[in-house]
Amino acid sequence: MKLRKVFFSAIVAFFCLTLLGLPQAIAFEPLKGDLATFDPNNQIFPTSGDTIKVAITDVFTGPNAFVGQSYWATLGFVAHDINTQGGILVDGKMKKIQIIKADTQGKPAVGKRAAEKACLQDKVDMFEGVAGSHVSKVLQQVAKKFKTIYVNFAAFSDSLMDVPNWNEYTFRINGTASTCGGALAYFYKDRPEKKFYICAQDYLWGHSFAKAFKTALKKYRPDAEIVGEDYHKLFLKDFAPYLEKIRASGADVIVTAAWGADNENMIKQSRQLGLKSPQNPDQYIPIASPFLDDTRPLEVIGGPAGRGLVLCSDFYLDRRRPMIKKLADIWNKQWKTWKKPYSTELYRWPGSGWFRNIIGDYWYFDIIQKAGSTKPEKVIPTWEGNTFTQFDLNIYMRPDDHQAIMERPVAEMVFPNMWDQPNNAAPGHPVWIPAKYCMPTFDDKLKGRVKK
Amino acid sequence: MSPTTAMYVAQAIHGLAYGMLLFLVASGLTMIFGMMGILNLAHASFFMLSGYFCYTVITVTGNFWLALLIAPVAAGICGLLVERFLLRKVHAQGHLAELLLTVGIMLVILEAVKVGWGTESMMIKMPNGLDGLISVANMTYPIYRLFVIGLSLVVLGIMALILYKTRLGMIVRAAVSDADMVSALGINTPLVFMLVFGFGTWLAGVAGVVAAPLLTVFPGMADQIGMDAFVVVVVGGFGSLIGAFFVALFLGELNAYGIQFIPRLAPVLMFAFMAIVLAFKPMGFFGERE
Repeated sequence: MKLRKVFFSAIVAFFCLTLLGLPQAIAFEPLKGDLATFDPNNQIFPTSGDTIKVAITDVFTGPNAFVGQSYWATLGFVAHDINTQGGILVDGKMKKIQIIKADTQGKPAVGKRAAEKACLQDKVDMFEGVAGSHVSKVLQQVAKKFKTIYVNFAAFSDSLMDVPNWNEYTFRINGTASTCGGALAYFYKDRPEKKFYICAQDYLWGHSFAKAFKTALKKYRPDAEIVGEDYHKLFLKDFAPYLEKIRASGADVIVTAAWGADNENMIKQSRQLGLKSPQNPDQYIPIASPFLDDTRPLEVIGGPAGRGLVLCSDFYLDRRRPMIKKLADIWNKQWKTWKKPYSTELYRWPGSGWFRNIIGDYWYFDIIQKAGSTKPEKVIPTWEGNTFTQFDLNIYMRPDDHQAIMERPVAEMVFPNMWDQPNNAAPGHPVWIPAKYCMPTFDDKLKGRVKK
Repeated sequence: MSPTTAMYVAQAIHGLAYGMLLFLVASGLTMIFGMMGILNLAHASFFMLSGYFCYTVITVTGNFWLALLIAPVAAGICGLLVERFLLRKVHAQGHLAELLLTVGIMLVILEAVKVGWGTESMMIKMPNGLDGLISVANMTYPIYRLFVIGLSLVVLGIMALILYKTRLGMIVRAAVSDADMVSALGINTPLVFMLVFGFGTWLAGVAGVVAAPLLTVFPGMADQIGMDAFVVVVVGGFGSLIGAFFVALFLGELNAYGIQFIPRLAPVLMFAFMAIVLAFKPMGFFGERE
């Protein structure tokens, strides 16, 4: 009798332990799926049955269509990894990930319609994007209205996460004007360069970045000087008049936050005009920007002319870290098999922007796995205060305002480089600026919102 | 030369280079309008198209000079075909139909470019020999920008020669003045129209190739220069080549010195200038009242 009791107790205990351990056993782990079969041009997602639906709300048409195209590759990569591991256990079922495109065309009104359709018709669990703070602002309103999680990966303006723009359904993974500007200013703390010329795009982002840089520079490098400050219109044709002023100012560094064709033209034309670095006359003038990871303008100016450019991105593919290296190697190996448009240099490595998207997606899926649900009421408290420790990073989700806090990289361009790119300079090993020196701004009205 | 003087001189040359580029685009536009009465909204799209042709020729042959020869001709042929098979058909429907058609052509070119070359921006290197800098009296200046000025002057010279020293030029000038009368004299005006349209798009094509190594070739390239070219044509006077020339140069300088002295207002200076001119001279500086 006693033996039978012990036997039954053992069986019950075994089942209990199995049940407790089951979710752990079937939990996905980054980079453990069958990534050797991933091809962004041929992605197949489950379309019927219960899926975790995610919409990419970004630009898929027009001059900046590569932005949406890149998300298609990065989110596709993460989804493929997880789907080939069996999916995620949420709401009592193993569900696979399904990706939907929602084209914003870079316009707030179109973006609003696209996001609303994703929420109402496609019934997505989360939508992500978006290039342009003006579009993000509208998407945040859609997230609030339809009580759907929106993850901001690419809109950098500080004020987006301030009251009244802030809402509990919105999370921001990417850096901001404050984090990039702060990290860049700290980078110059002990360096010889001390004359800076700000030349940024004349809209919210350009001004926010400049303000953040100036504020941080005053704090970390009080003897530095802003020798000039200009704001140019978007998609300017000719930078020569601005560059001539910069040359005359004797600036050591041009600080910009220009992206797209402006970024490309400024780099190219500064080299064409022969602007040299006053600190190092053998080198061209350094341009510091968060958007220097596009190889095309760097190829055009040639490897040596790219030396000294400074990338202050929000994420960085630091291959000195083992798991990041693993990701980079898997991606790069697969890239060699891809066809156009993913066969270009732009996709050779999952560079900083691509890496950020990948991290953000893994983090979101990790959160719903932890929450055991895709429902916002479970996802939100799980994500608030969570720290993501994969890929040798420690990213903390500040609970009160849903902004990611982490160390930020600043890297100088070197040539020859370590990225198998023989025709251009590319980032060298970065300096990691501790999180406390490059924090996103915080609206005090949100202080104490979450009491944990 | 002191650094400050060097800066002012360099700004003047930058303004000149941009002004000449603008003139190349605007001259074709104003000529087409002057002769055919068509406000060709697709004009800057031919400028962009030529930039893409240039990219392709350089990618295949590696030769910029060949691109300078082929790409504008290809853009010009596209222009000829557009005039012959599209615009001529709607000519009888009046200017509104022509205007709408050019909007359609603009959108078709934009989409065709995206399908053909993709949406990523294309970078073109400076041609060998023109990629350096020239030093004069303590001032360095890129050779390529001087080449842009020189080439534009050569094109302007050839254009003036054709317009004022040849029978074809005489016919064109006469057709600008009174196309019906020219037609009544037994001249095949539809053919002249077609050639002028083709020549106008060729000019935009030359500008597209010349601008390609300076700027980035991308689907928004046409918007970048199209608006400025329209301002030149409006302020210079519709149909006036001389007006386009002087206004293009003035706007180039206005842009360069505007950035130098009042950078915050620089983006609107051109439009403010247009508004002031139109307030006092509604037909532009050299435009004639119908």
